[in-house]
Amino acid sequence: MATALFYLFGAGALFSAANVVFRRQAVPAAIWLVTCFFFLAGEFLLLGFPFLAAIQIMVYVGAIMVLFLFVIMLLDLQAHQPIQSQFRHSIGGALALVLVALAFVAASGGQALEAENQPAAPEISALVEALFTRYLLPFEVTSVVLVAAIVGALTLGRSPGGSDHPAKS
Amino acid sequence: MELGLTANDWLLAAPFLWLAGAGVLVLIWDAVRPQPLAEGIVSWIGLGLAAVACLPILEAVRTEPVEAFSGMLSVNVPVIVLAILCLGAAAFCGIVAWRSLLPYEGGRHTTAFWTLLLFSTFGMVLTLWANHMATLFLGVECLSLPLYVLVALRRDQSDSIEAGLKYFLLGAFASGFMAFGMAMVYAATGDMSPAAISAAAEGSSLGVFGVALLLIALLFKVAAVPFHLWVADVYQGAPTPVTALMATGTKAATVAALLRWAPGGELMGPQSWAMLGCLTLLIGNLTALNQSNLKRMLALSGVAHVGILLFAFAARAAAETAEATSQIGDTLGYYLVAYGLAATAAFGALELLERRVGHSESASLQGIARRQPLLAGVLCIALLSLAGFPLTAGFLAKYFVFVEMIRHGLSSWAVIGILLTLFGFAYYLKALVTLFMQEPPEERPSLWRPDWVATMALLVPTVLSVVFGVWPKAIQL
Repeated sequence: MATALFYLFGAGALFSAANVVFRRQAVPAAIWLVTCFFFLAGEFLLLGFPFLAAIQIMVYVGAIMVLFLFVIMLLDLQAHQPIQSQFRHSIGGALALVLVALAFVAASGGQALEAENQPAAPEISALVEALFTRYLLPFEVTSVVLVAAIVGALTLGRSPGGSDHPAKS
Repeated sequence: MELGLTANDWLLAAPFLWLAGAGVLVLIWDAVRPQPLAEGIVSWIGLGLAAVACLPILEAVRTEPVEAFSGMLSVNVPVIVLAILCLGAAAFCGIVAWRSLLPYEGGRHTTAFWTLLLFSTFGMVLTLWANHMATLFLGVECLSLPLYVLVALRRDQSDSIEAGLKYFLLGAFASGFMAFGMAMVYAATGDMSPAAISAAAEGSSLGVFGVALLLIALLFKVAAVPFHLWVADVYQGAPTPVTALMATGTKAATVAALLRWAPGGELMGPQSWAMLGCLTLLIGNLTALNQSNLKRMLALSGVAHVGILLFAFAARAAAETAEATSQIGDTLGYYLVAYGLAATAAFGALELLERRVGHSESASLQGIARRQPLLAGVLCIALLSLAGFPLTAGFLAKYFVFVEMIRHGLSSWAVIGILLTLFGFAYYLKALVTLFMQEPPEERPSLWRPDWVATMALLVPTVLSVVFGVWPKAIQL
């Protein structure tokens, strides 16, 4: 049952991801991305990582996708402006896909990952302890990266030569 | 698990705390009372204190490497010297930008410039010291994200915007490769320290694939052939002070990271590294030869320098004892300092000359030595050091690399490298001929004023280039 569900969710995630790429309109593509994230969350749940599944839905679907949609709407990408694609782009994409697929086949090589490399599903308390002891430095540095990104986004978002407020479109 | 920080943690955290603290203070200062001079002074003090905080670490690591934050950071002598180089490059970038980049659009980018400069330097030091994949990834991101914006800061120039966009798209792609590679290495080995790289490279094909992805990402960041195509456009389009920072700080940080995270053994043996270095040197030299823009020429000559650095990687892959490996690490550190000083001086002088003639096309820089003898002299010494002329640090740096190659049985590659280096003299000398031996064109009247502070600051890397060239031991303070 669990195995069947695992493959079902996997197929669903792949199908949604393909739709994200092939949809010509931005909003439906974004909605398919949401579906893809839900399927992935299901996979995490089946693998025994309920916390990761919850984070996947809360952060990616709840926060990041909403931001995506806001940006799409602010940029006013209308239905009559489908994303253009060119033949040579599809050739490049197909080539990249084949290369990555080949690499994955070579990489999996028919062997399962060794058991000792698979971490046990952590308790949330263990996760938090790791975050604030062993991974304290990366955890704190993340905040510096985020501040840098915010300052950068604000700087680029200002209208050139205009007022100090972010660009209004 | 123990929650407190050890003495080593605080020791290594100090430079980061100064940098991040200064960055946040600049932001707060701007919110309370915008004052460009004060923001600049706070940033310079932050950079200076971070450099001072590196000195006790340097004392501590003289005998053996120091680790901190449960193995997240690990430092030895070369990476601390390189961290001080990055801090100096950032301070220099600020001094040179003071009269050109900052007043643009009424100075309303001042706060962003200083904050991003400080955070980018933070990322450089973190990349240099990272001993865990999580720290490495955050370091590279913290280095790159502010740089994308700094490159695109001149939004009245389409070159600058184009450079920022190209750098961002390609850089984001490379970051994706890096994260993906790290995930695979972790899946294959269950470890995220540098030791995982060699374990993964010799293990399953999953690990090999991950190592290859990580290697591609780092080769992109150091701009080795065939991942060098962004360099010319980005270096040319970026405001020149930012180019100076990228050529010095980013290059030092990423090459040092490559040294720590590069695979050796069967996956990338001495021959592969030497081949990669040879290609990079050849293509860098060939493309630099035909440039009519001095900034672009210097950017591509930077690619050629990466080629020689990769030769040092070949020597390291061939080295057998730990002592030899650490000596090659010192050689690489010396090379990066020599290149960084010369590149800083060259781009800095070019920026000041650009202000007088408007751009960096060599046609308009003809005979500029008659009008600007001091700046042309600085540029001359910098170019000679980049070319590898004796009595400059650049000569000794190249000499050390080739000696290491010959010592580890790569003599034929060393000969090819020396010939290609001599070939590289062509474009440096061409630039010198343009600057010194041609008739200057008629000058249009302009509002140009000499910038004495920046000129004095330029003398520091120039003099150091010569001092380290005659007395290389001085570099270890």
